[in-house]
Amino acid sequence: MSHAHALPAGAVVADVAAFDTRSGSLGERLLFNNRLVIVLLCLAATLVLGFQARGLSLNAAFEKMIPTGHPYIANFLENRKQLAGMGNTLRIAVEAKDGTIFDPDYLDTVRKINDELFLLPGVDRPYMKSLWTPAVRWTGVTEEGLDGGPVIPDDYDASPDSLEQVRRNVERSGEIGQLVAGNYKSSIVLVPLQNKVAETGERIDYTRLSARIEELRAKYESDRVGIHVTGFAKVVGDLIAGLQQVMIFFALAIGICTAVLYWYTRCLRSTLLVVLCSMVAVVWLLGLLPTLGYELDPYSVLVPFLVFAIGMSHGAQKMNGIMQDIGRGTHKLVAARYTFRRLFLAGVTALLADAVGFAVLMVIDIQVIQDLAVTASIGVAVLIFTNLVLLPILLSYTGVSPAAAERSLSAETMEANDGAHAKHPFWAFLDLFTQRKWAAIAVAAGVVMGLAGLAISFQLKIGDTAPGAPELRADSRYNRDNAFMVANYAASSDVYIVMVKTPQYACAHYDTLMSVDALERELQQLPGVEATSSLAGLAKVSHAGMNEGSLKWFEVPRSQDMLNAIITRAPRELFNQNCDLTTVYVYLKDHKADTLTSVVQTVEAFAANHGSEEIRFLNAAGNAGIEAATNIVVKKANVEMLFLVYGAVIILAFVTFRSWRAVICAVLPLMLTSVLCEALMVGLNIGVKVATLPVIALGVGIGVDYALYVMTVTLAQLKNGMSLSEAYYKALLFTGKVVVLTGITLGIAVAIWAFSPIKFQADMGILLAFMFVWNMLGALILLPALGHFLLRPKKTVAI
Amino acid sequence: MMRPLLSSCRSVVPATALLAAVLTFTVPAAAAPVADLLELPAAVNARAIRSLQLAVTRAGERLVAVGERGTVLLSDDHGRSWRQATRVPVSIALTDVHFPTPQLGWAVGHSGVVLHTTDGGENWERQLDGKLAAQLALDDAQARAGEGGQAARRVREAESLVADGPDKPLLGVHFADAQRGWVVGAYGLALGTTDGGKSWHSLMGRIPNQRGKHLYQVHGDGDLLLVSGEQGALFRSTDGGASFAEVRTPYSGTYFGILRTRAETLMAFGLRGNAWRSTDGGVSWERVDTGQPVTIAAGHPLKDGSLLLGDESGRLLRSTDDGHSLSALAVPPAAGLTGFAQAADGALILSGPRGLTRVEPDLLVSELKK
Repeated sequence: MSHAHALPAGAVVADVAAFDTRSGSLGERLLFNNRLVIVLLCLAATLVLGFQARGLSLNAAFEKMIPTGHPYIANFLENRKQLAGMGNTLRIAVEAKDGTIFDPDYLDTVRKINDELFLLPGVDRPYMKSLWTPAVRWTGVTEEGLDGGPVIPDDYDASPDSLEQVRRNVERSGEIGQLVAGNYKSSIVLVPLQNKVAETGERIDYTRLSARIEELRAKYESDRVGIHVTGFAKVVGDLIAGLQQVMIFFALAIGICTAVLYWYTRCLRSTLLVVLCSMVAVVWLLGLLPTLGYELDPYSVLVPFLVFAIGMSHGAQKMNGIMQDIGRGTHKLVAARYTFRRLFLAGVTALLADAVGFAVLMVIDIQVIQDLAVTASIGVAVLIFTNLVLLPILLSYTGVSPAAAERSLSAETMEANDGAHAKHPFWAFLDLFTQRKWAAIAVAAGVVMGLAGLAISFQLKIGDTAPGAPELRADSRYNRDNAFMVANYAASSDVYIVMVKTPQYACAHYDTLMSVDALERELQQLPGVEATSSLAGLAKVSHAGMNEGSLKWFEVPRSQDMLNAIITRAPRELFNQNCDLTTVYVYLKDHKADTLTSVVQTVEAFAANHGSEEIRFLNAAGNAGIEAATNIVVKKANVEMLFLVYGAVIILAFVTFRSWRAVICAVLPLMLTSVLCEALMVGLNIGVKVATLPVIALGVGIGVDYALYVMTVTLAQLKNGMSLSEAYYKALLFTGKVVVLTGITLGIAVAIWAFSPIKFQADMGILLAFMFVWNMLGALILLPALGHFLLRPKKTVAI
Repeated sequence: MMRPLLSSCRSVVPATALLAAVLTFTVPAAAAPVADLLELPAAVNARAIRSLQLAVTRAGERLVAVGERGTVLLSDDHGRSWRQATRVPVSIALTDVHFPTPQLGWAVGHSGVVLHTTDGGENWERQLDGKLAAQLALDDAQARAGEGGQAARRVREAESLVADGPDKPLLGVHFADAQRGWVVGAYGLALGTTDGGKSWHSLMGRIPNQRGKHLYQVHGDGDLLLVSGEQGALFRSTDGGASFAEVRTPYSGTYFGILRTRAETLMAFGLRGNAWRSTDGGVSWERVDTGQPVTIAAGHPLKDGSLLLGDESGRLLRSTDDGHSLSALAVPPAAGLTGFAQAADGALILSGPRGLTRVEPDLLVSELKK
């Protein structure tokens, strides 16, 4: 980071023989006096890690995406084994495009799909449900009592009579709106998934599972049959499929960054070398991940982009230095050593600053974010080898093209003679901000934007704001399937589950049911709650069912004998084997933060009022319950992270500058960007969620680089007695180009994510691009303007 | 008390282990201090008008409906809009409601609750609950203990009623006027009052309901009192409830209701589409074709003298020939129909799982083409 000593220094040594190879630090001698060994080692490492990278897998486990440390999630994980249908379930709707489900071909298709799904690894087979599973039954009332059987009778023979029988059975099965759409044009195969594949003990491979389901879709979908699939496993599968496309963007990012670099250097040879080294860094990263037991998930897959882009900008600096030395006539090997000597420490420090941004993410108790932080840290560490060591060594072999060296030299000469700053209107324009008028305008504009941004950012929402799977775009296949489910089935896709713990065998006690019923009553008052279901509700339905279906009996029976009779036929989703746990399902309109918060608060208040040793009301399971807990963690982490990342950046900046005033000049523009980023999130309707948490940390961690580049040089020149304007102009000439280059390459690399089929990657891309570019502008405009008011040569230089 | 119905269940979900666990239930001490539904006033909330309504009736021009969670709904615009009653002292499901005058009304519900209003349904007070009802039954049985015959059995039954606590729902209510009324319910529960509900007396010793069958409806028409119930139970009183006689019918399933037409024809209806009519005061019965084996939940005469039955699938069957033949009306079926009433403007108000539905008067004469 400290570029103060990065000014061209060292004698021009045209002949390599005249160079004292014993000069320079131990590290430099070790590396450059054994150049070939280093290159061969790197080559070997690249080959080995490249080979290793073939073992890299893409996955996203359910547990990794949720804050496992939160008490709600702990409740969920503790009780998950005891309850069926919590969390991870696939819903596959088979649609009859013409006609109804009471059609022999349709039913046959459903049977085949049912049978194929049954055999998939990881399926919790006893709890699978469809028209063809024996657990799906009808009950009816006769003069003699209750009658019942499987919905599709054992003697089903596809005849019109037996189809009519199926229709009657469906009508009295209570599954309309659950397994069978109200319009009789589709039915669902419900596939609960295990955490691990029972046969092998391995985690479910969502990529393969999703691919198998897509095969089923391809096999059975036709003009007459439509297949709609929803569920966490499919979301993950689609995410991973979307990642394949991310690779295309990666290629695009490489192309654009290369073009920008070439435009900057006009030297093909060295441009390719920088790209090569950055690619080597990516290869190492991808090889190290499986070696260390990590895998890529939809979040950490973005790290290679960042590593590549950061590598490009650091490589550009190395190249820039070497180019200048070679331009002055120094031998390429010596130029490389000089550059290494000048910039290695600075580069390491800058990369450390980036790492701070990543490291801060470790405080977030969500494993995907922690994995992202680890992956990014590995990537940055790798860059130290590839772009700070390997690149100068490789450049010491290749040198730069004579034309580029010549160009670099003439620019330097020209700048030295350009007293009126006439040759660089852009730099001259930026220099205006060191003067009172422009500085005042810039600071005032910054304050206005900051206040406006702050006002808007109060509307910032926590959590997801869109219906369906927010990870994917609204028009994605998955979300269209989800819309189909919501339109045709009563059960909403946002399910919040409250767990109710009782003494053993008391889950169906009348008092328990009365408490559950009271909780449901309160929950049903919330505007975001569409419906609830529980053992109490079931007791009412069954009570009516046992009395010839007369709804006049729709009340929880006080007779415990009656309740005991009811629970023997209750579905296992509602209570556990020991009968010390029962659940309240709350079906929500959406999973917006407000909706979830209202449910969380209602349950907490109810638990506080009516909970006891005997009966405890626990949040929360179900996708909405997990999301509620995630929101709570994310909200807390968002604040914590801001404090940590700014604390770290301020300390880092102070260590570098040794001036509080300079720290203020460097950090205030970053804060403005953070505030504006939140305002932008409000504007783009992006909530604070797992995916956006890393953005601010990364934005600030990497964004502070610019301020560091500019401020260190400016401070050094101020120390030499220059005016702020002169010092700043000098800094612009020396590092301004690199700042702009870094801003642009990073901005482009992340802006490309905006085209990702994965919604949160697009969100991250837009926000990060905004932060990178805006931080760059802040460092170039606001920093000198603040400097005008805070940095005076005489006062501050002495500090 | 388990119904014999259960034991005849043909197929039970296999859960043997669970069944064993549950049947050895040890009842723990009451845990959560949640108020008993008999003590908890019904909550006023926006969702009430879309909640399950079990009966609807007229109180003068006004319509009054009762349903789950102690909900009482009122409409003063012939069922176009509904609001909740101001005060209902219980949150337990209410099953039936009747107003002999526009101001005076009675509602019955689970846990043997009887509610009374004197202001057309706005405010309700509790007159009776299951505990008191059981005690009255016991008192009555003990008072008649010397009568011999079934008296000893009645005492035993009444004792178990008291022991069970207030777990029996009342299912039907009828008041002939401001003073004389009758309520019937599960396991043969039946009570009467002659002072507007200030005091009640058990009718269980007067109704020859030997197996304690559920009684679903009590219907009054002048001097005549008719009670219908499960397993073909029909009882008739011609002396204002002082004594009841059994009416035998060819059907042994549940009659959810019985009515008498203007021509004094009896029509009993119930389970699986059964409707039976008798033109000779219940001596002989003929089956009426209802088209589908779906439970008929409610039946009333309409203003124009025709007869209307409603089944659980929401089908409305109208008869213009004194119940001889029925034809389905061309109205959109409201599944889960629980009852209906005719509003003062002639419209039909249906009660069901999603509250109340108004059927415009002109639709009542349009018959579904067969």
